[in-house]
Amino acid sequence: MKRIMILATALLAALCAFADTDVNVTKKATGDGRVAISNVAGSVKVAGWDRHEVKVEGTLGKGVKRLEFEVRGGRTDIEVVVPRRKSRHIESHLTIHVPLRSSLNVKTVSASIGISGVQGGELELNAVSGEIRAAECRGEVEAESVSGAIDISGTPTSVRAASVSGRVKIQGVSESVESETVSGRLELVCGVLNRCAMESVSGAIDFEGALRKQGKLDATSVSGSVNLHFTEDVAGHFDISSFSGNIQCDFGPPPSRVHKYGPGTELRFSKGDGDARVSVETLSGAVRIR
Amino acid sequence: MNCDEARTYLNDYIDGLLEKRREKALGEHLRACAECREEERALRALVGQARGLPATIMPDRDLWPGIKARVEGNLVDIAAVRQRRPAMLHYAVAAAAAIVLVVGAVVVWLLEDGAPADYAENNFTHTEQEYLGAKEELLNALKAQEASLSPETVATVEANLAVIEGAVRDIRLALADDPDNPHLERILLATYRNEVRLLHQAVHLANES
Repeated sequence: MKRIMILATALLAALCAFADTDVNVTKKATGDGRVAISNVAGSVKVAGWDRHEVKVEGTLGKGVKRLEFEVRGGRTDIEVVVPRRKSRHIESHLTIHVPLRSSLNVKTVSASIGISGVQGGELELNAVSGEIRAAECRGEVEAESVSGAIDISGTPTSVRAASVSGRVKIQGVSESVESETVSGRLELVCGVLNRCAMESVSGAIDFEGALRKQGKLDATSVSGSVNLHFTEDVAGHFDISSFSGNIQCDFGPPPSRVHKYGPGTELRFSKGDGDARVSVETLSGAVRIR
Repeated sequence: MNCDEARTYLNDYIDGLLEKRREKALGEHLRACAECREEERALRALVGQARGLPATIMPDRDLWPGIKARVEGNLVDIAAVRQRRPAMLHYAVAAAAAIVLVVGAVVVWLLEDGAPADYAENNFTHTEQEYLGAKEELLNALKAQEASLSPETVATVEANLAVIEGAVRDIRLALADDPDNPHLERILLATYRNEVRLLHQAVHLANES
């Protein structure tokens, strides 16, 4: 019996050693301050709430040194501190409530980032391989990832999003978008924009939205296709060119060859009396405009 | 702001590229921390020396074949860096940090403000050389610091650099068919910008790791 007790105690001790640590801390904060969050691995979920408090709850991986959680004036810092060069047992899963008018700066490596209902001035979201999802956004959003997908929705005024190989999906922007990828896909469903710049090397570009009277849209791709679907009439100047890709446009004159015998097609025309400008350039990517 | 964060942002602080809030926070930290102030002083001295160098040197011949060969050589060497001894790596990282600092201004100009369409059209060759120079320096820096990145990140960066290299090759072939085509020149410069941005991002990540 004694031997069984010793074994059970040892087993319990071993299990405890491998257990994650629970956290649940709440601190007073200003209603429109800036909250900076850093977590290497695991997940970060941030939700806006109608209180002047920041609440951090979740679990810290066994290999984590500590959680730093400091509020100084209008700034809140939350950092999962891990030993340098350590990559095992550091996954920490945090759910953080912040005052809904906060601005955010979230940085992770492989941890996913999920934001909902934070309607402050600026959201800066940065991951390496983790996925970034921000819903119910307002104001300005900046998101950057290497291989993680980016998904931004709500009614942000402006979005700047770049992923090297992850898919970038942006919905509901009302002012301006800048979006870049190397091999990922860009998917934009926007309102009536003032400025839209999209750049890709091999990833496809899909845009659905409209341009203001003096709005400007630029799309550049090497081999990825460019698909523009204007939900409202665009009055202005169109300048479309592709070296070897097909150009198909549902309005305006047919595309013409640049040289009589060589490759290259161009489509240039003005439509209506507006000053909007649409410019598309590809090497081999097909261009479709409707 | 703690010392680690302060040092992460110091380069951008000196280049005047930090957003206002972060600049203010770093300024406050520097006033309170003598060690970081010393770091700032040393960096400013180095930047001052770098500014003394000529901003650009126009090539008197086509440098592309030589640069291409060296860059491709560097890409092949990346895997070998993993095998090096830590002490060697330490010096390489220090050298790379200096390189990034020197090319920093050019890279920032190319990524943020530089190479506007009219400039690029009028000075295509010159702008191309700027990109190639920045690319080469960043590749060297990345080569030296690559061990700080996770194997998955290195694989993603290498795979996408290969995508970009393929695209550059295709555009150059098209340009050989249709020299001086302004659309192709702009696509090529945009692709270089993507490449420099990717390398800059990778070096930045390696610095932060």
